[in-house]
Amino acid sequence: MTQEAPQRQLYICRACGLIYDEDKGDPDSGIAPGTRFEDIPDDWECPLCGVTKADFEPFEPFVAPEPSEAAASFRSGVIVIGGGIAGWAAVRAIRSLDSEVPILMVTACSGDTYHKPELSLAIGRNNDRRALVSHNGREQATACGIGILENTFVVGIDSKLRRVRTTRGTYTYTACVIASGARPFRPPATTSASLFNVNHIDDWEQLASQVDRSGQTRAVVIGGGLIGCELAENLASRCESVTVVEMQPLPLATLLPEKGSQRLLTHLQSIGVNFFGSNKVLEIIDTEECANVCLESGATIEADFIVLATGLVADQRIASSAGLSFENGILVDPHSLETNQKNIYALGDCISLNGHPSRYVEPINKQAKVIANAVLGRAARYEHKDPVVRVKTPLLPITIEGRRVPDAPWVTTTDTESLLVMEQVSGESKATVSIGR
Amino acid sequence: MQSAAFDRADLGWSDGDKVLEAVRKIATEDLSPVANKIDQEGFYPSEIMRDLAAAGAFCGHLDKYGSRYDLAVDAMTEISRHCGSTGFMSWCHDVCGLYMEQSGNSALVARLDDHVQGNTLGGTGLSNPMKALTGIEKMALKAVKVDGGYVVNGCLPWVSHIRVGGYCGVIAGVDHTQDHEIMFLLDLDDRASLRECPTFSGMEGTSTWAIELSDYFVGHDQIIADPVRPFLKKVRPGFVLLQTGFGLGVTQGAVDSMLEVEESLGHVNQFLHDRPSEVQAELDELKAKVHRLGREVFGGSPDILIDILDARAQVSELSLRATQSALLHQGARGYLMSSPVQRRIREAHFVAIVTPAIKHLRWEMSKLMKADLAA
Repeated sequence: MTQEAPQRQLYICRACGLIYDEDKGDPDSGIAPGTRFEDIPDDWECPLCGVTKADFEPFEPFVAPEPSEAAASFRSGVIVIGGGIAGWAAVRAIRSLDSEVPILMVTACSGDTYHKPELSLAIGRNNDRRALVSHNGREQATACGIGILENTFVVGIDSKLRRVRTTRGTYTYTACVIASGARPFRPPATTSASLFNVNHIDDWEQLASQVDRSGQTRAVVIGGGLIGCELAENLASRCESVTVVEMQPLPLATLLPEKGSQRLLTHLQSIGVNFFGSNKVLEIIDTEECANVCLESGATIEADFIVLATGLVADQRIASSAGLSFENGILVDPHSLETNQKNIYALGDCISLNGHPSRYVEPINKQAKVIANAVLGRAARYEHKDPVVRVKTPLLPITIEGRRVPDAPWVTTTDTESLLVMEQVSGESKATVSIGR
Repeated sequence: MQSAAFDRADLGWSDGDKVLEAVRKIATEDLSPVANKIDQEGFYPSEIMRDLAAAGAFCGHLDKYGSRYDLAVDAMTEISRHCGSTGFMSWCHDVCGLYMEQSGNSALVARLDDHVQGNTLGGTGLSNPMKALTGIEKMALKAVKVDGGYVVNGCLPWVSHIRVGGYCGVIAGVDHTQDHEIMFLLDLDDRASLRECPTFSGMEGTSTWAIELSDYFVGHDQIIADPVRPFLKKVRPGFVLLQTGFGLGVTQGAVDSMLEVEESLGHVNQFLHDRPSEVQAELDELKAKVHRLGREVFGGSPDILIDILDARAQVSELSLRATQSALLHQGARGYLMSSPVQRRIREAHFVAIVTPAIKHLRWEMSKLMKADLAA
């Protein structure tokens, strides 16, 4: 029956930061230990700076996260910018050759590792974050013997003084590896509180919880390319309706021959996906109940959530601060993967080879190996090969191999109800697509 | 357009080089000899501030004088090179002029000439609201709407470059609303009380006071902005960029001190880090960057604010390193209490701590970049 003693409270002086502790009081000013703050006379003054009681406010001590030990002791070495697949690939590649060289990873997120291409599938499987994350960033850093600065942004690189300026301080590098990725391209006029993307596990998590939470699940996917088609198929099993809006007349039109796109369209429609081709989003109007997606064709679609899948763009800020050449991505030498600034390398989604980005996972490990050798002063040469693209549409698997030449003719080699295989041979390049099984 | 404005003002400020030459002369001949007195005895160099104003030191960044941020920064650099306290007051005076001009309030614009020419002196009390608006602390002044204006109460702990008869730009939160503030020019007449601050480790001569307001009435003639946020968005890049002049000058002064002992101590100083040529090269590059940013300050580019915050942080980091190095370069002689190099250590710490401090800059950049990522 005893009343619980009230929690001791701290108060902070807004002017000078002095903390009034009720347990200690302020005996020098005649305030006995144990005096509650509200019982202090109004004419009491801050013992340090003299402001009045009214300038104090309740104080909750903040506990900052402990920095990684190896980050705190990092003086100079290899700095890896980015904690995604490419950043970790670079770290592992360097560590496999040299266990000593100091490495510091600077990442805007937690640096947790997960297989990004799984995100489209995971939305259909109803996975949660734990099922996707294979390693926590901090643990991974400890295992690799590197320092990590999580939730830290690179503000600029000084290529002359070899310094990376971050939101947690300035660090000197002997070599810098940029693996900062690319971000979703947002077409003008696409703003809405219900807009999501799946370019990062944090973004995916927001979408996943929205899908879980919504009583109604009418989805609109903007963009009918690779990610858009993957999402549409995977969302179809969980949503009341899925609508894809695409600028091209058919889905996946930049990667597939027309006949292939047609087959994909028929498949998507058979599982209930609405496809609005040759169309654009003019604006999105948020209402209390839902978002109204207004299309160029005049149609308006009601959506409980909208997923942006209109491709990726690389951020130019870091590149321009360091004086790096940039064309649809950071321009790197196609064989050394070095930028136009000495000792700065780049890999993954943020780069372009001769102006062409290649935003697939497959080449990343090869790129990482070449860079690891280069930063350790060993010879290595990268030869880019277009990766095999596997579209994660489990009900209708699609594989694309080789480089497709626009406008060159395609030959159908297999055409059954469940499988379509087509080939294109044009000069030296050969491409094959396989749709279905 | 610009030349017409200059002709009208006819103060001989159109030639930036001449302005800088005059400022340099006052800084070396009049300011430098009293720098120690300002630092140690809290001497407020109001006469020198007036002379600097008359020379055009505080006009550069104003639209009326051609929006030459580089000139304003360079003038502040020349001043801070000899006395960091006076350099800081120059910034206070500069931004106060910026508020008055950008307010568009004819009553305040009418007072601008006297301000720029140094006939009147005014500062800025935005440290608390700047932090409050970005979520670091709470707003210190509270305003209540009344007939014909507002009534303001509260206490601003440390406001520099003010005194009775002067004025400063301040912000108050309105009523109990979360998102309405007013900004006004607080005239420090008998309605406001100034209270002495404790002794500071640096910046003693900056005439820094605590301001207490009890039912202070603010009429339309004093309003700088209502609402405040769009106004701050506009002036903020300039507000932060101008501060770089203060840190650049402290750094330049540190290089000067290193060079001063080069002939006599160079044989041992060669073993030190951050040698004068290295610091000077970094300083020159940073200065060029600040000049470039000064031309884009009202450009509205989304990246400009991050670039300016970054430059401001770089200036802080460089001035800390440079002043530390200057003390090591000067050795025992730099340890005399009358030596500028030990004074500059404290000045550089002030550069790094005055709002926005290094930690605030990083916090803010982090916030902006996170928002940018989510966009």
